[in-house]
Amino acid sequence: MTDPILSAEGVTKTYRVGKREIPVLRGVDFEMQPGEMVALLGASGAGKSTLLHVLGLLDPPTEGRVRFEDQSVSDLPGPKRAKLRHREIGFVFQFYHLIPELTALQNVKLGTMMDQGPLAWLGERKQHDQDARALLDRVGLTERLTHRPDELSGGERQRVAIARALVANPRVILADEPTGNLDSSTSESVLELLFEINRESNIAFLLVTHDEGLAARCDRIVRLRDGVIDA
Amino acid sequence: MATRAFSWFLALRYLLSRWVNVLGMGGVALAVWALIVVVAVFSGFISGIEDNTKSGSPDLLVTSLAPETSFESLEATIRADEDVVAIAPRLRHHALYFPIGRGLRKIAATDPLPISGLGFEFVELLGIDTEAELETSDLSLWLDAIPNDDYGSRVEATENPLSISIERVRAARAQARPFDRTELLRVPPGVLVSRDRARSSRIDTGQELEIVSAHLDRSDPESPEMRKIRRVFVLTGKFESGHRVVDHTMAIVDIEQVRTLLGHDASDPGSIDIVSDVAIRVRPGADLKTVARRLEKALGNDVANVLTWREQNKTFLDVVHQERRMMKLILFAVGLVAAFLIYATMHMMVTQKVKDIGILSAMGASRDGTKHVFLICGVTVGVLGCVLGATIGCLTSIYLDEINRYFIRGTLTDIVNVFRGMFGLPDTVLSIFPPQLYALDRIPTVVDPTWVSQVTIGAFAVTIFAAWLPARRAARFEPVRALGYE
Repeated sequence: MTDPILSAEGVTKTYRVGKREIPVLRGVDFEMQPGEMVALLGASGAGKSTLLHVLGLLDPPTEGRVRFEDQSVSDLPGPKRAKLRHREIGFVFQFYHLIPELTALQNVKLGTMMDQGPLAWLGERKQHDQDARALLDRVGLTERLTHRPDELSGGERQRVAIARALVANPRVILADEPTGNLDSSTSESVLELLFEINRESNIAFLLVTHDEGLAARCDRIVRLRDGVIDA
Repeated sequence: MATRAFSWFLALRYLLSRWVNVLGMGGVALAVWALIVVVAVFSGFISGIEDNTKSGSPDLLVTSLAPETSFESLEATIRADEDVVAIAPRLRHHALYFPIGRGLRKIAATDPLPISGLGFEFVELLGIDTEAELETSDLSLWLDAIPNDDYGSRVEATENPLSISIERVRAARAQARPFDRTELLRVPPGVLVSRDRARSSRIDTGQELEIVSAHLDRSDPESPEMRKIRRVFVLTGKFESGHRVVDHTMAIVDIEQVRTLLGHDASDPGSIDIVSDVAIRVRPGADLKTVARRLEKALGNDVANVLTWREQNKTFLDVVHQERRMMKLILFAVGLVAAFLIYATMHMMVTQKVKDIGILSAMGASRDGTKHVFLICGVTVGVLGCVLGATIGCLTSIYLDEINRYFIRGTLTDIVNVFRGMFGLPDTVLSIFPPQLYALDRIPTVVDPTWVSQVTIGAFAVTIFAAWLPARRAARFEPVRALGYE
């Protein structure tokens, strides 16, 4: 067994609402191997999305730590966490979360602009453009490059979101119910795409889902119950 | 931290996709435009008023002299100053006048002087020594002033300026002979009033005016006696100094006439050449205040005050400058409104884009990068607004007269008259600057580069601050909360 690419050690997360403290994660230990496809199952309110946000460095843990490879990353300063998130972690959300003013191609290219200055980016503009077009081609949207999100179907939007998650060549993709907002046939094609990418790119996937059938197709299933991982 | 490419890219997209940004830019442009144009017009007026005031006042004026002060006692001291070029004695005395031949309705027949009768007007007689005054003040300009009633058309030239005396002074100069002041005593006493005064009194050259006054006769120091004075003068010409006080209150006569009225007839033995003031012209480039203080010291501080032309008109000029300061303050409020507009526009944009902020965070954008997106939007709106406002403001200020003449009085008036005609109303003439009100033939504007720079830079700084606040708010959103924001 190789070293985990992403792991959580004793992670807790407590939210404060007024004077009340609401524990969501209660000491989660979790590991993902490179290229592994992991399904995170759990009832609503079990803390699946919270764990995903903590692992993706969007939300700091209250206690415990998140490691990327052998480095503790949850306590890094904000800019360093942002840089790591950009370079190593991709997100796919249930509601796509595309920028409505941008076309499909621009939404994907936006991911190439995060750690370059405007002049440096312009210098490599053609390469970025080619990369983004190739990704949209790979997810089957060659004909939809100049369409804005409101001109695309749900499945097409999710494919744009997947292309955007891939553009920075991450080693981990965290997908929060990526088919939760799609009909069954569209879901199937999107899932096929994700599994195909996983097989071809050796990218580790953490899929948050309620779907036992989908979970069964993954390499491993992790169940979260009341903020704790079921043994 | 250097700005990332996505900040510029996204800011540009947000700017181009939201028309409300044009509103913010227009607000800033309008504020900058107003600050530049209004101050340019105000400065133009102030400059014109100061020019007129300076022209209507001598460089220095020795005043607050004791009654019965002799010019001779001051002359040598004043002339001794190295910066004094010319001096002229003046004698002021208050009086009333009414045009002879016009009905005078007495209200109280028992009055020793018929001053309560309707038709009298108050006037301050300013006695001058024509020859000396020509060297000392802008008298020549006042007399030769040719006022314009309308653009480009000179409708009235002053005739017979300073009556007979000035003609005689000029004739003597032309013949290179010394001017004999006793010539003035052989001609009828003439008086000059301003063109406006002549118009309001409905009098013209050749009109006889009865001038009535009184003075305290101190020939017997034990019992000074109030004496009536009456004398008929002939209106022999008109002037226009541009100085409102001079034009509205003064009537110019020869100084010997006033001296005679006050009991100092030059032909009487023992009479003195009394003066109330002495006008002084100083060497160009000399510091007026320094010369004034030096002369006060030389004359003796308790003898007289020596006032520069600014000090002579201090209250009036202070009021004018205060008006400009107040106007700037009011316009500054307009600038603040523009800043609020930017703030509101950017705040609204941030509120609408909270989800985008979460998306950017998930994609690896730093807080600074997110902040820069909105800061670039606000700064771009501010810069474009400032540049647009400053450019249009300068052009408007420079061409305001042409805009008024050709657009407002021309095209716009024609359009308005078409509509007025539809409702049976008579034609009108629109103008942002009625020239007859100010006796100026152009709208005076002064575009001060320093003020334009201050306004532009100031407005820019304010808009940056107004944009920075919402941008900072954008950077403070927690990514997870932003992603879930509806």
